[in-house]
Amino acid sequence: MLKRFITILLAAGFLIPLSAQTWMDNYDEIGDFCDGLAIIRKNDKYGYVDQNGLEVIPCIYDEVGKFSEGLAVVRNAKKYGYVNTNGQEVIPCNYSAVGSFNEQGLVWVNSRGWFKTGTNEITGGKFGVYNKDGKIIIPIQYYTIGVFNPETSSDGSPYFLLPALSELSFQEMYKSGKYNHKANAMFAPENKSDAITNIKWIAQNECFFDIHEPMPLKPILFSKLDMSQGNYIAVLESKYKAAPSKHYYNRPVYLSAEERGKNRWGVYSAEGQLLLPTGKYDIIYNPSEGYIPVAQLKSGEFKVNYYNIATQKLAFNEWKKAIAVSPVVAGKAMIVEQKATEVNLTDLATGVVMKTYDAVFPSKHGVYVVLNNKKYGLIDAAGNAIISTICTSISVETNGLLIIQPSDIQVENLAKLDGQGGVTQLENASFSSISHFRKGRAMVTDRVSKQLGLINENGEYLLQPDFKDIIVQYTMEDDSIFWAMKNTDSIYHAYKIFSNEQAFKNGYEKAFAFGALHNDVAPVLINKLWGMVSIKGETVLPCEFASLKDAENEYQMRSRDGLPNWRAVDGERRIAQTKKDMLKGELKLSEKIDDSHWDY
Amino acid sequence: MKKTLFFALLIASGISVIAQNNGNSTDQYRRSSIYSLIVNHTDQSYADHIRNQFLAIPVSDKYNDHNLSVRVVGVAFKPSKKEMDNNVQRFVSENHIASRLVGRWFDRDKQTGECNMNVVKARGLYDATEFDKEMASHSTRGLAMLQDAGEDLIGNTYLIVNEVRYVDKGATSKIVGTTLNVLTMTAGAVGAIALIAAGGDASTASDLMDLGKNTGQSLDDLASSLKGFRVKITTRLFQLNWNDTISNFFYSQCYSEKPDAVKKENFEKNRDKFTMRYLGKVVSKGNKTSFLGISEDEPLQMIRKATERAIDENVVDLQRKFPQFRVKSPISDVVEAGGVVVKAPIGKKEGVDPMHKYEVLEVRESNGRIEYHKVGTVQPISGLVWDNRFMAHEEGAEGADLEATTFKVLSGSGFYPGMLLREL
Repeated sequence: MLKRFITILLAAGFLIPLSAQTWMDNYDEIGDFCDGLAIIRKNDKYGYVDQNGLEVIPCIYDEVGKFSEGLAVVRNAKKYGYVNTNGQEVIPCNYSAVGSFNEQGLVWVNSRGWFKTGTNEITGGKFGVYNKDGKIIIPIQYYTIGVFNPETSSDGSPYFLLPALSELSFQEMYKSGKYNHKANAMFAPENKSDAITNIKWIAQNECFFDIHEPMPLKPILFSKLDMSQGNYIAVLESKYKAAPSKHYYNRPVYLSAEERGKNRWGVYSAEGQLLLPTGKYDIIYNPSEGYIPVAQLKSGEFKVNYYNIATQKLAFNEWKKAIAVSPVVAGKAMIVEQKATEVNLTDLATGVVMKTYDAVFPSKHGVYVVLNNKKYGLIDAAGNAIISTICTSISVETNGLLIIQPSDIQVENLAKLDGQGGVTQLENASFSSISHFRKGRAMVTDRVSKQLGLINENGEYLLQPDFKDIIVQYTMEDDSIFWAMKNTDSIYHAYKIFSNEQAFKNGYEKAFAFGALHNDVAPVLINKLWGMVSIKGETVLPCEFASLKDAENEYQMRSRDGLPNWRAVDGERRIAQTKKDMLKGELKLSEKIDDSHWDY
Repeated sequence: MKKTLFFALLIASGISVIAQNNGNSTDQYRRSSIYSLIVNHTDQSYADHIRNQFLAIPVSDKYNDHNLSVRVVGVAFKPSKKEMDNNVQRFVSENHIASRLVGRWFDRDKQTGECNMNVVKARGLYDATEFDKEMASHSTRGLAMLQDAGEDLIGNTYLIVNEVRYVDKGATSKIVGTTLNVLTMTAGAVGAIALIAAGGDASTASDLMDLGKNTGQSLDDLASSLKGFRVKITTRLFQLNWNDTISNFFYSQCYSEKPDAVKKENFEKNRDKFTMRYLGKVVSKGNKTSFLGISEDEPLQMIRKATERAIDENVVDLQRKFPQFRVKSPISDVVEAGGVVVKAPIGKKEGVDPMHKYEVLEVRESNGRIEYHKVGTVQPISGLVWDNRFMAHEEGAEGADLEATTFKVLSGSGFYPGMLLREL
């Protein structure tokens, strides 16, 4: 193996000529040169040599990485560090885990921690941050460090939901069985598990508010600090009470307000300046325009304010009772009052409430749908009107498109933001109805034919409006083929987009989208029996299974055992497996069973 | 089998640790393979329902599904225990079950004799390309892999034969009998009930209601008659014999990846060479199973609950009696919380009990062979044992919400997810 390596490296021009190879004999293995150094191994220890064979870093490490921008990660016993090309330990080998350097030249380290879940994630110990010069930017004293939610974009963000809403509402739900969200949605969970499911569903789907506290870094070994959303690092000094051991381990309970209230976050800049010390506020959110939204739990209520980084003072003298706050844009912020019946657009410099709405629905695109007197409009983050509040409905899709019903007439238009505070309606994109977009596709009802079609984000038809039903699912892996049913049909066929051609001949009474449940196959139903078909129309499982569950079990078992698509031999086995006399229990223990009953 | 680090490690031979720091390691581990059969006393009440509910029980994710087509056989008389032992053993040998289990291992086509190694590769967690390469080159490593597959995989194939007897409640037997007559009289209804049992269409529930109407029996009556349903199950355990002699014969005389009439014939004529070893049996306690969690609209779930729980109980007893049958389960999480604890997705279904101890095994691959090295001992923490038995959640059982059992460490250190637990 060593000789083969040498040959390859010689041919690639990485090695010095044959006559000077004697130094290579000293090592068991030699790697590629990177940044002028190659990894060497001797007696299961690693080091580095330069192109002259000079041992720049002796073979003292148990593992080493390749050099990148002058630094390489190394491990000695169970401790990690970084060395430079001079062999100096820029970050000493004292750490249980280290990250990789990010674009800002920062790397997290952990001292005395422990590997937790199955993806090299470290927990426990203390975290801190180094820069490339080996300077400690953030002292190694924090329970964890975090980045602000990478989904937050600089051009506007969803509201930050205070945990009180989820917490208090959760408790309210659980105790009284009623939940009041936005003062107009009620439902009664039947049990605790139901309650947990419902609040999660609301948070993910219906609720426009996101809980955007700093996200504790998931410190997977060699992961990077993602500071793409801002040059800030959050640090956490935990002051959790040590709970009785019986109740501490993985109890299936949501975080209590009290526990959250004991978190102590602080904020550092990328240069290591402490912007917000720990121990001041219970909750903090993404900094924006020199402010950090903060909240405190007092007497069971959450109150909010904005911390000015430059002045180190709060924007408001009086903390405001609220359930959600927005980031600061153009010096203004949206504060959602406690009962969610009012949303105030407030100027942080003056504290003046500029406008009040019945409801505000934020989007991830820097615009807000607002409701006043049962009519909807659209404003930007600074409160300027983009669409007056005269519409019957407005929806801002996750892809940034707008679905607008301008009046009570059943017509919906597709539009997009023009980036200059206005809206542009897409040409020929007016329909009787438009569904929400899924992966860039939406189902529409044609205004004239009243048939269903499928459009893309430009409002162009992918499937012409020729159907009475189209199956569109969230989890589709492949979206070049859709199951659809024409008016003249009673079964679903697979149609190719753009052409409306059938992808293959067979049709089915029911079907799930390809990839919705498993890889690139679709469960299909015919004559009340389930099977699976591939995207090419090949039979993966014939329609012989009484329930979808049976078909899925068979598919999973075959996948686990590495069996290929259904073959003739599988058909014969299936016959043996479904012999009526066996299913009816007519086979006898006392008899030798005919070979035709056996699949093997 | 490589570490998922971005180090430029150059070592490609020698001992390496399997599944270390692998994000998917909790699912990727070698399991025993199991074939589960029911012997149903057809003269007893609820025989049809017991059969149908048994067929609806899925194979536990702790085992590979090695079921053959024949899952149900009946016995219509009341043999003595010894007679039954003999009958079962005779059934197993006369029907060449061992050879059929071997056939399944190699995906053998009965018509052509073609075999392949897909199942061995998949269950052995081999890299398919590497495996094929080693086999093709007849390397020492390849031979070691085959031997290892034989010992650790094929040799760990088991047959469990569950003999189910319904325990008559006495007073309500008349109602039960009446209901049963109605059900068996209506041939189509058997299928409908099977669908309900298998979680089929809701519309079949109304079929059951209609049947009830025909006899003047309501669904409530049926539910009432099923409350307190009890079964007593005797489970007999067999292990597939697989040694060098048998494997050599198979690979040289019977294995072919293309249609081969001679090899096909060799296998068929020599099915007797493949045998099962009878290990022993256990009998369930026949305790009453709670009706809690059963919907009044689906009273037959009661039969499934009682049957499945009794079978689980027996499997646990067999594991305690026969160490080779013990199931291994992967550690899913290691947490430092005032001391190190580990979690694993096993629970009461597998007989986890705070009184028992478990060894922690590190899986290592050495020159094509898998080795299990004990690195510590753990014990379940009382109050944190997952109740994963069938319908534990519906009946609101304590621990049903946990998704894993938490264990405290008694000895050892350096645990990580992917290591395996096995009861001591």
